[in-house]
Amino acid sequence: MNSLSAADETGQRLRQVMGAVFGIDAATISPDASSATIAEWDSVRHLQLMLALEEEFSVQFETDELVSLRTFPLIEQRLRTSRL
Amino acid sequence: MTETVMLSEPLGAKPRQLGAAEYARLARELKLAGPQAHLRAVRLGVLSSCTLQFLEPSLVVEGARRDLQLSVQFGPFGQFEQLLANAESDLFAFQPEVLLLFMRPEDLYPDFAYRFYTGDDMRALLRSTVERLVNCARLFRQFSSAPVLVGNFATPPSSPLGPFAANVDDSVAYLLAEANRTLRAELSAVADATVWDYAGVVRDAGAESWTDPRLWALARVPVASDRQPILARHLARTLAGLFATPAKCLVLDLDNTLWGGVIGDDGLEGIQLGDDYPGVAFKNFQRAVLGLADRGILLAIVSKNYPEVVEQALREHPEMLIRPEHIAAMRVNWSAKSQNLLEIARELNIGVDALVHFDDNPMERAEIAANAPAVRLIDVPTDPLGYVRALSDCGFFDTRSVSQEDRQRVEMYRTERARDEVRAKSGSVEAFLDDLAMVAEVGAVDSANLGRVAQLLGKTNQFNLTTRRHSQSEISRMSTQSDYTAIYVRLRDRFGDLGLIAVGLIAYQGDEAVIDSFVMSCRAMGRQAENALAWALADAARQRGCSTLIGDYIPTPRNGIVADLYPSLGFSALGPLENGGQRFALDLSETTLEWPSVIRQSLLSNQSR
Repeated sequence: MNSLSAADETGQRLRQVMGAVFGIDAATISPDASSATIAEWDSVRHLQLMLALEEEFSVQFETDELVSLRTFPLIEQRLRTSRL
Repeated sequence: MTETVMLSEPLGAKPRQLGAAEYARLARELKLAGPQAHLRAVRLGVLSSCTLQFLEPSLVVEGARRDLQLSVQFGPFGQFEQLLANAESDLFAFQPEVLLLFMRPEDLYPDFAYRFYTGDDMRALLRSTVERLVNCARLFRQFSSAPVLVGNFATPPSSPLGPFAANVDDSVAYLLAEANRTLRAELSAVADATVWDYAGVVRDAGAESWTDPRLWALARVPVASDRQPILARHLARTLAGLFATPAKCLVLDLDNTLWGGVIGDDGLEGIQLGDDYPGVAFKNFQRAVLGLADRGILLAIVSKNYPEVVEQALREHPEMLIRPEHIAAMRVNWSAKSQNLLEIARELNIGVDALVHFDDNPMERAEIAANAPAVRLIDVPTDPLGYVRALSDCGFFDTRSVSQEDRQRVEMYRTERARDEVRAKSGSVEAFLDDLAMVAEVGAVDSANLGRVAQLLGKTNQFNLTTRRHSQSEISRMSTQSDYTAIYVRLRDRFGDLGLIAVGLIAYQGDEAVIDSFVMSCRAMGRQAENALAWALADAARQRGCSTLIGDYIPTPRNGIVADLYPSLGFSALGPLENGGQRFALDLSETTLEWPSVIRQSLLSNQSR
């Protein structure tokens, strides 16, 4: 598996989890999505998303990261780093 | 949905844990699916001193596994009295069918468990938390008769006293245990209020890993993400226990269930049962089974075996703990197990859905599921060391209270067999009943017997004229209001005490006394005890000055045996009711009911007269 498809796969899995937690169609989540563009992305669901991602990707976020990772690109970036 | 239902997990295998995303997805699917015929819809109101909203997806999914379709309303963080004292509040607009009150001392007093108070200060602080909770339950009662669950207090994982806390009389842990006892005691004075054992679930799961400090700091969520399903499962089981009818009988397989091996092949000496592995797995399982019998669950056996071999094992195997006297019914033959189970339900006079079957063989379970689908089946793990856990996790026997009658039930069935022997020897029914030397006590329902009365009204299916399932708080209200009379009958005979076996409720409407409920336990059938209750109801109505006693029969699939009760007592038919029932009347000025001659009336407690 080359690094490009691994990156694609991270984005896809992230979309799936976001879709499940927010209750929206994963395909509609754009690469620049954030809590400003997705109405369902409120503070409770944000934490639910973070916790679901910890499970899905077997990572543990620092407390500060739980607060700051509020956009699709930031989260995707963080998950990709942890895969390396 | 149903493919995710697994109530007990195979031991050794990784438990089938759903992830947070799966819970979210399944909960949403359940919501979108709308009302489900096989699920009971329940509105749950939650008032809490911390954030429990996170629990919603796992609670909805775990609720569905327990046959509940939950819709949950969480009150605003930390608000209790504001909502409970106001009939117009969002809480009451939601019309909760259960209320959960959850208060953590550490939320109300942030110093709690950090600072070392003197014992008296700490006691006072916990005392006021208990008082506040009980007061909240009372406030709720002003506007709702729905059941209330009150979470008790979990012990925090660490103490300012470190590892020596257990040597100090007023350590946090000891004081919390004391507060939990006080909570239970004070809550028993509030109708239909039950402790939710939060302390128990935290203890069982481990206090150390219970909380995720990040979640607590950011959102006041007291439960770590991976513990939330455990909490949800526990709460869902508790809620199910408030609504479900508990099973009455555990039907056991024998080979590889009560002992290891196949007795027909291995012989009495060859089966595994004892204090070492693998026999100890089966011996401990027998202990757990007897634990259920101690609290009133009947035991029965269904096995494909030779009866004489089984008989010998039950009587003579030195390591057997379950003996013939514990068994209320037995089918040892080569017929389909489903048929044997149906026969056992008939013999014990209980519904097929009151049976739980424990069988190690998945093929047998599949046969039963296909041919006797009402029987509740336990998902038995392959490793016998997991049997005890599978039995305790099934939840089919969960009941809010264990009455004196429950504790004595196994003994009652034993004496019932002694009665059968007398019956066989007696020439006539009258002679047999006379020989029993029955004594009945008739009295007014009061707080001392309210629990049993509610149980009888809630569980009786057959000898039940109207099948009205009044809650404990409703019965409590009826027993104290002047336009109702609530009468019980206790019965004993020369073989033993049958306990409180019949209940009648009268609602007065002008000079008519209408029998709202007339129920009798099946173990008292065929003894003319119903005549004693009818006599008592007529007597109460006459004392009250009523001219007519009205009785309704509302048919259900289960209560056909009482269709002719009122005519047989001398009531005349008034015609059909709108609800499909029949109405009967007894003219009290013309007709007098006879007290049954085969029963002596105990003169000690005739309060109702």
